[in-house]
Amino acid sequence: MGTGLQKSLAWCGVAFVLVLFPGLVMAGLLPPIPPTRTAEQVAQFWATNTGLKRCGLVLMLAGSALPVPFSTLIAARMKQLEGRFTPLTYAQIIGAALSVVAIVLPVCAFAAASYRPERDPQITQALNDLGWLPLVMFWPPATVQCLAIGFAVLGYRGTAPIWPRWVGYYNLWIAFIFASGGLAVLFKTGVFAWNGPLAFWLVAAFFGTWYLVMSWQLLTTISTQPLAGGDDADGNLARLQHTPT
Amino acid sequence: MPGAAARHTQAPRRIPGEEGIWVFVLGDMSVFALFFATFMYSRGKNPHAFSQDHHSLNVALGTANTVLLLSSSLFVALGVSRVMTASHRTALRLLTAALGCGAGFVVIKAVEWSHLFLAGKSVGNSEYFSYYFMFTGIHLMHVLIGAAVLCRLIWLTRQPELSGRQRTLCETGGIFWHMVDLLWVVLFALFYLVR
Repeated sequence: MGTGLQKSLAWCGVAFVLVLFPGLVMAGLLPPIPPTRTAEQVAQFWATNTGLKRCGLVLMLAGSALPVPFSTLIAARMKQLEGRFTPLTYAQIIGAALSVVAIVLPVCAFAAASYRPERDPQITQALNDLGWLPLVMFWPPATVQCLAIGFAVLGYRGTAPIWPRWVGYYNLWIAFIFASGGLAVLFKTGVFAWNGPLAFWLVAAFFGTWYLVMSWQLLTTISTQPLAGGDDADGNLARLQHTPT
Repeated sequence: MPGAAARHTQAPRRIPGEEGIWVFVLGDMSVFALFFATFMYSRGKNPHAFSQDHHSLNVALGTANTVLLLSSSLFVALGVSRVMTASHRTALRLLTAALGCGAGFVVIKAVEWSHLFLAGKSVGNSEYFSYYFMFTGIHLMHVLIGAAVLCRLIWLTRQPELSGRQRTLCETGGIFWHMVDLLWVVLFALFYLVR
């Protein structure tokens, strides 16, 4: 694989953040509308600036698949850590793929909410709930993804690590942070509600920085670990010699 | 421990455990600091309701749990220092004692929660109990993970010889357990003692 392609894949993480967050702002989802709002207030929200909100949702949807190429580069690097038997790499890929749902599903519900401003407010409120709850509660795939990366980095026994070990601990820690929105359905107010500082703001901030940190680490790795540039067989052979069996 | 300390005075200063664990510990503690700040903020806005709910907590059970975790931390500290001086048999006993204290903590927590649930207190009922169950629940997750780590260390110290990497793992696991203990001490003060 050429370094140009690797760089593009690594930058997809940064691109994702640069598309997703402006999309959230445009769609009016930052800051989140409080769960305590009445059906009329929610309907009113979706009926104002509807055009801009819809464009924001389109932007979010456009960005939603950027984690896919990004996480495949992570997977390729994890494979170098794991050797020939790569269950964690697969777990990471599947976690990343399912995390896309955490964007797509809410965006579709929000799009439906914004689609007919003239309809019964109760229905719009239901669609608004159907958007917010999965957006905040959909943590397990992202947690699996981070745990897989964390364990792959920390479990590496060879002499040529791809990433420093703190990246492993960082991923384990982030894995738990992502879980803190998981109980949003139990709350309508407070810090764990879908607009709460812990369930939403903490996770949103760390979700964004995680992509930036991993992009940075992938980019650094391209220069420090220049193997697998078309000479895969040699690279793998060299690595196998390093790896104790 | 004195022997280990004496040995370390000659050696250049080093970070206990492996460096990466400190990223995890500091990260986790800053998140908990955020938890505590939000709790104090909400409490400041609604002091009356908070102090009323506070009285439904059983301080004796909380104190018992604090004693259990503090003793377990002591056992872990002693156990890890025995690992460093290669007396694995004693280390094994100390770490098992620590695990026992951890299990005791979980049992007491379960009893306490069942009492509260039976009394009709649960998440979403009141702001105070939402915080209480969320924070102690997240902490309980930490205790369970810590217990799994302790099991791994106990399993390790059954071997007569440990590699350098395995000794570092023992230290790292010990650091995690101390963090779990430290977080509980703050939670205890915040929920049971602050009036």
